[in-house]
Amino acid sequence: MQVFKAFLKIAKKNLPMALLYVGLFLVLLTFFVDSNAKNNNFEAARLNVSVIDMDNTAASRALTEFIGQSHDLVEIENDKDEILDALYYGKSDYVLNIKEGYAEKISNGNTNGLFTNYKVPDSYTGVFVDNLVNQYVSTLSAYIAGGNSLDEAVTKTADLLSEEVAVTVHSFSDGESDNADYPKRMAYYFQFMSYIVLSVLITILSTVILTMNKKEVRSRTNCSCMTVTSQTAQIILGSAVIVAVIWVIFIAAAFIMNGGTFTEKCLLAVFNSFVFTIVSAGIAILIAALAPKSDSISVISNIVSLGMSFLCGVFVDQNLLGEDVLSAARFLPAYWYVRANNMLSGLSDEVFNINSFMSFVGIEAIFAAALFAIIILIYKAKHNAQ
Amino acid sequence: MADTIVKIENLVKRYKDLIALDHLDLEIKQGEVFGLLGPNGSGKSTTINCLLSLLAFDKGNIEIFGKKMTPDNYEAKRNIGIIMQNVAVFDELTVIENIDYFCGLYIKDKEERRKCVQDAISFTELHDFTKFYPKKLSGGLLRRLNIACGIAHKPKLIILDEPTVAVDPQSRNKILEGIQKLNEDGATIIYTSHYMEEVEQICTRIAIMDKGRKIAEGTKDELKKMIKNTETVSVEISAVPDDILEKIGTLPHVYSACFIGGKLEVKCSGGKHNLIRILNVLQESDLHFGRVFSELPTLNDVFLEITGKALRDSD
Amino acid sequence: MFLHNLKYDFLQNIRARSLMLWLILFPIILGTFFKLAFAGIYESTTVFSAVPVAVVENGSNQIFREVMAQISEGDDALFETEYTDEETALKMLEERKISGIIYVDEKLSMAVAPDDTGSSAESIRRTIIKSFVEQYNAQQSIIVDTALHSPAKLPDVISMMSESSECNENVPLTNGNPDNMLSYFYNLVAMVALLGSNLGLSIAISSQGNLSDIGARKCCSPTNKLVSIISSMVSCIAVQTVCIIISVSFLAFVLKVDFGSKLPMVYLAGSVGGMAGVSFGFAVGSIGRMGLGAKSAVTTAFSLICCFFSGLMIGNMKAIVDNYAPWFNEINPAAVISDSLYCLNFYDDYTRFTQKIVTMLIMTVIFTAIGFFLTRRRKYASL
Repeated sequence: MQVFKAFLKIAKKNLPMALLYVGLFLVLLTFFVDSNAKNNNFEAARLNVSVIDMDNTAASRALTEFIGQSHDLVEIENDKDEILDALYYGKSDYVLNIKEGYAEKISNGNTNGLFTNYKVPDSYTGVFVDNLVNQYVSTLSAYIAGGNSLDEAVTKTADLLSEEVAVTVHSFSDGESDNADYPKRMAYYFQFMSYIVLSVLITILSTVILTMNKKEVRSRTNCSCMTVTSQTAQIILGSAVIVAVIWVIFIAAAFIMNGGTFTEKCLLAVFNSFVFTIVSAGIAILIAALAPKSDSISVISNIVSLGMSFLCGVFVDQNLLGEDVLSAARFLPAYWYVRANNMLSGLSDEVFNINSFMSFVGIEAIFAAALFAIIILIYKAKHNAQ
Repeated sequence: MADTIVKIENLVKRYKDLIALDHLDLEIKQGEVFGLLGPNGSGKSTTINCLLSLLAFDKGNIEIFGKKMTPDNYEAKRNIGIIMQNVAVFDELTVIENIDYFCGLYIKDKEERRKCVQDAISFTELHDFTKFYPKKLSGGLLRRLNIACGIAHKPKLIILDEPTVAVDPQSRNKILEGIQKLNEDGATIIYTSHYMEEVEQICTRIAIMDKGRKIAEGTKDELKKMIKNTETVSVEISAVPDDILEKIGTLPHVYSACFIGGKLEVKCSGGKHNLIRILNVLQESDLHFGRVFSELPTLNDVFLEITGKALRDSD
Repeated sequence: MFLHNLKYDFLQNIRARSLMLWLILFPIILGTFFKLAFAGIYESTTVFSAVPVAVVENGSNQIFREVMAQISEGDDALFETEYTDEETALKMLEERKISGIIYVDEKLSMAVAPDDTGSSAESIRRTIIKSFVEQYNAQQSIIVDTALHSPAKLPDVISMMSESSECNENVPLTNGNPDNMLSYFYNLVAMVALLGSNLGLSIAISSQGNLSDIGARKCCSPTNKLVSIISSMVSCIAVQTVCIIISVSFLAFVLKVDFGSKLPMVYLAGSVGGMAGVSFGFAVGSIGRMGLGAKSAVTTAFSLICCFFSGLMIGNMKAIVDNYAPWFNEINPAAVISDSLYCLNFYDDYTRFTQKIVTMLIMTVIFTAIGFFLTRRRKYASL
């Protein structure tokens, strides 16, 4: 077990770096979970709308109030750059400028050129608010045309438009209670964890293994009476210890974040993450076996982890990715991990089914098996080539 | 009396609890090949690094070319050539580029530098390898490149810190000859090694170090005179009875006789016919023996006698 | 002397291919992935397309049919409508072929599936259905109201309602590309710039006597340390600039990422960002005695955090940061670099862009000063 022992000793020397990475990513993880879990509760979508009221009459204030009923009003300065920033970064979705003379025009039955607006071109949010404003104006002007005074019309319009439509929500799965079982926070935690585990493992494992595989050391080990299979096995075993420690840290963090309990679905997610962690370890060992230069590891780790995460829907939800991308992503293990996780949380259209969940995890396991087979082959080939 | 090139006074260097240099004094004169001899860890490299102002030291004073050595003493640095224990070259530069690079740190003038680089290449006989990358060089060639990088700017003081570690005997001889040639051309040499043969072969003056202290200094003959041993006789023999051994031990001038591993070893101090006398005793006792050696004292004996331990494990 | 150093530092950087190669491959591979992954996103979430709905009628309502036909026509149709029975409609809803069902009765009502996709586009589609139903009901009420109170004005009211109003005029804000997926590419450029810190590490390591043998050798030479550091730095920046130019060119010309109309300035911003990255690496390289591997882990981790908070992984991260700690966007190098690109795309004048560039230059100066301060020491406690 010499190789194994040496492996752990080298790993211990890299401990500060490993802790730095793990700690850092835990912080990122929290931010990711928070920012995603927040903007996800819709029924009637509430948008951020900014109103710049140049008219400043009772009628224009009534319009502002009306918009404020169904949307969040965001204050904004009437400055082009400011507006641009607000729109681009999603601070405000729509900026409506009520022109001076709005009340006067509309009471004369003239509805042209009442407002100007700024919005992201061709966006849903834009169309949505456009419709709202149009609806208000046409209702208001219809009331005025019907002989009402401006004040009356404003009141009637407000009353009429505040009538809610009956909306039935049809639920097709077993029920809403499932979500409490596996809260969105947890779902996002495990989703983002796949990126982090991959990134951390490549960085840490590759660094340690590369030290082990330094040409001189490697040749010396090869000259010993230890078989190459045994060496490889010990390296894999040593990696297993590191991997286990890292995985336990992340699961423990999830446990704490979830308030100290894990329900059945959470445990399935934990199982899913466990299998994926093995896959990640396989990827990390494979990269190390290809012997890149040590100064390139961090860049390679970024390419692999970021690349796979983007393609497989870790950062951007899978249902937003195009069909072509998803069919290509099928050949990557993270795709199956995310798909299984989505199924658990209901983030996707797939209804939870334990058999298909297990088959997704099974596909990850096949990836793992294939990776380790390749690793053993590479080591053997290298050994024979020397 | 030649000029003093290097003067080290009362140098103390501590690494936490470990005293690496313990009140060391050294003086090196113009034209010398000065050997710093000592086992691994005796403080040779530390001395060199302090001398070069790479290491901060706790106490003492270092002067080179008569001026205090500081990191900013560029005048002194210009005239020092350094060949490190570890090969310090760029893997990404070829042999000639490496030499030119390091030489260029000292010599600005292009024409002059070109000549220096050529000289260094012929000096180290690297003609055939100028376009090679260091990775492709054998151990000996790499050492030669390391040397070429250190001496290309024709320094007046050349410091070699164990330049022959892991070098085959042939290359080692080349290196040693080269050092002597540099010395003949006027350079003062400081040479550290734990190979006493090398030091004996080329050094005009030697300081022996152990545990951070200078335990002896002088020419090799001076050093050898410092000890009582003048001759060591060894005889290959299958067995020596204790009484015979005792008898040999009482012979005149003999101060130590022992039998280890099929070899009788007798140390003598002074006297002229020690060998004959010892062989006579053996003959009288009707003991058959094989090969017989009579050796003059080596630096190893000097070291052994002063510190009570061998300079390095016999090899 | 300086040129001599520069020549060899440059040669060495170029020949140490591995890192440079990966620095170039990084944006190429990730950029391609981004392009692939995002190809459909802007269209599917942001660009409007007709909302698929099913209509279940309880009896026939000719007026509704006419209205529906009117708004389901043409290029900017609001709905893609299918008239069917309730059972089929529910099935379609379950399979998510439609976003909602409209029931036509005395008043309109609607049904949707539970909101568990987390997709904002889907939820907006539902809201569009809802507001249509509301509007239809509202207009119906107005007509009833008018018919009761002043039937004479009914024609006026109806004509007013059917008149397509030009009340709300959109003002285009910019000539730039509005796709906010661009921010991912901005951040990719920022990441490449910051990863240049891996190049910068070598500046410190190869000039420090206690970090490398070559550093020790350099320390023993009469060449001023400042000279050798500046030359390594210049060569690293040159290499980094090459990497940036290749990256931006690849993104702009091969992947056809639209950076707006001022492409030369994109190169400038990337290169200045690269300088900040290299100098950051120099500063980290000078701190402590950790090996190259550990230091490179530190710089890479730092680059990742910066890019995370500037939106490399979650597009609207910068807006979130802006809400809680706006100052952080001003000092986060990745945010500054990506913002500079954003400013180029969106603003016609260069004021903000210049501000960002100046910020990057200040960062470069600060990092370099830290590096100089730490490497200025020439004697070491141990080697």
